Amino acid sequence: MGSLDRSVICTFCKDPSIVERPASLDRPTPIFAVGFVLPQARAQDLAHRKVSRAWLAPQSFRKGTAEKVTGVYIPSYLYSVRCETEYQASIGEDYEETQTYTTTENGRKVTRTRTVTHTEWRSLSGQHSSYVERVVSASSGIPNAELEAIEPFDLRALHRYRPETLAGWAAEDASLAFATCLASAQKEASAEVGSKLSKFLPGDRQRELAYQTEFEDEDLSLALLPIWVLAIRYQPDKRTVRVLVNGQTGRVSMRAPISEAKVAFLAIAGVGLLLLILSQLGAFR
Amino acid sequence: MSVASCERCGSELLDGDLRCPMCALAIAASPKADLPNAHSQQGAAQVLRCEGCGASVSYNVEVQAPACAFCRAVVKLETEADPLEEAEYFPAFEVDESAAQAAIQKFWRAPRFFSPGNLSRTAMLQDLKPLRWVAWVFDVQALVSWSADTDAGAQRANFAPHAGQFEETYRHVVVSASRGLTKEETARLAPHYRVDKLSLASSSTDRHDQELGSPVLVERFSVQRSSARKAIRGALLNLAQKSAEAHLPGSRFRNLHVEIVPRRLETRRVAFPAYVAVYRYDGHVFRAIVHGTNRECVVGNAPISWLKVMLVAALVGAAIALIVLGIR
Repeated sequence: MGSLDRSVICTFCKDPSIVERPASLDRPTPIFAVGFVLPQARAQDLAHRKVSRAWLAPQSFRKGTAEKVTGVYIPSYLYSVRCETEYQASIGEDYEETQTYTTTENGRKVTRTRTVTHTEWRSLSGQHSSYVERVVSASSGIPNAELEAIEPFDLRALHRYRPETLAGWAAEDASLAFATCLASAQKEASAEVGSKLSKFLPGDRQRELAYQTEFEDEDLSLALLPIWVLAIRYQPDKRTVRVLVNGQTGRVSMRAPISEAKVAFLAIAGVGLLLLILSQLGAFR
Repeated sequence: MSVASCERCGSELLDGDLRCPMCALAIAASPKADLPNAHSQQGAAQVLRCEGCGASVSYNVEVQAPACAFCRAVVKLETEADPLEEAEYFPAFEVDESAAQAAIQKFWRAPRFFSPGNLSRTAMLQDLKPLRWVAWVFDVQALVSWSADTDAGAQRANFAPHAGQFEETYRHVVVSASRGLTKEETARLAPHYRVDKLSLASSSTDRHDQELGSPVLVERFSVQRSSARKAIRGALLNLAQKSAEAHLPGSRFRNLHVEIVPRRLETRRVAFPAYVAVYRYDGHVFRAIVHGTNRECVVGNAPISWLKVMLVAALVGAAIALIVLGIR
């Protein structure tokens, strides 16, 4: 039994067991869980479809089959917070001016007018308050970026954690420190505030957005999220490629290997095509 | 239905909520739902057994719950409740059927320029039915952040950017959940109900409904709790947008954006009384709604006299022709 396993299967009798450890700051007891909705066969099917469409990957990878398929409950924090933000930005307000200019038409000098759009830049500062909700990984095995790639999870299907939910499935305890997860959640929340602000600001255009967010009434609740993990080995001497499938929505993510031969072929073909176009346009005459 | 309030935003929490619907704060488990914690401090593994047959229990994807593979017993999980909304408040009918009929007659006689002159003499009331249409009535405090371009302080461009924040309390806001009545109809009916006087004393289809003579059709919400909250949030954003307009400097604006932090949201589910009248005029069927507590409020469509419309068009055309000829 691994020190981070929350669920195990007995080697002798195959009975699924749940491990309950005393809670600590870095390893709290889960509060919520989202159950698996996607059966294993469907997850495998979705993963293989994604693998077969990785055009730049080696052929052996695209035809590869999963060595191992595991349904795992990944510890993640549901982070919610009230964000109080002070911002400054330059706001561009467009205006039009009619300009008079002189040009030559049919050998004669004529005076014409044209409308030109200018932007007047004004500074704006203010406060912005909003609630923000994020999901961050608490697992060192599945980093936050990989979890984000298969988000979102439908949190309406959330249920309160009961050990029975994990029975028969692999489940991990939180393996990242609470402070690390909090920092990661705050970083995501700050990015979301930035994205909200860029839609919130007025004007025809904006630049130099700077903001500082205070996080108030933060809440981090540990939840277990369902993920299918597939390992694909496409060459005996290569490491396996991990494919993640959202156990609820079926969203797939992986870092497919790149075939150097295919990339080289594409580069040569691209250069060839460019030369052909240039020669047609008479660039070499 | 309200059982507690959120520790962060003070909004009401209903039985079955796992997180606050407004600010997403996790709600602590009730003592009865406490997890079985009979394991040792060292972290021993425990086999969870079916209470029926004693076999081990494992989570089953098909039933989406832990289940026993032998006796098929399913372990019930505490999950987010998302039941259909149900009305709790039933304000009494204060307009009886004969008064509703008289209100319709008055509606026909009301001066409307394009209505036919013989409407009150020839229209035939075909049906008049009491009904209750459903709506949410909510009270909420909100911190509204806004930004907009207005003409205040404009220099070379016509607009200058402005931003601000204000606190606002919205009380007795009615958001229709009716599928039978249109948004326009409910928006015109709503201000005439005394929503500040709602009381649970009339929290059933009361005696008055039975005294009306004909059965009262009570509309169902037919939306789930999660959709209701979305509708309320949407309505709150619209309200904030409107109230922000009063805070803008200058006389003209554009690009108004708002963000809200709602607090202390309280929602009541109400079945408002009204009458639906169907009447016929010149072979066509029209509908009007009579308010159930204010007979002066009748909302509906009236027929249009196309003869009058053509006459006005001809007069306008003639006036334009005269002006054009006069200019020449």
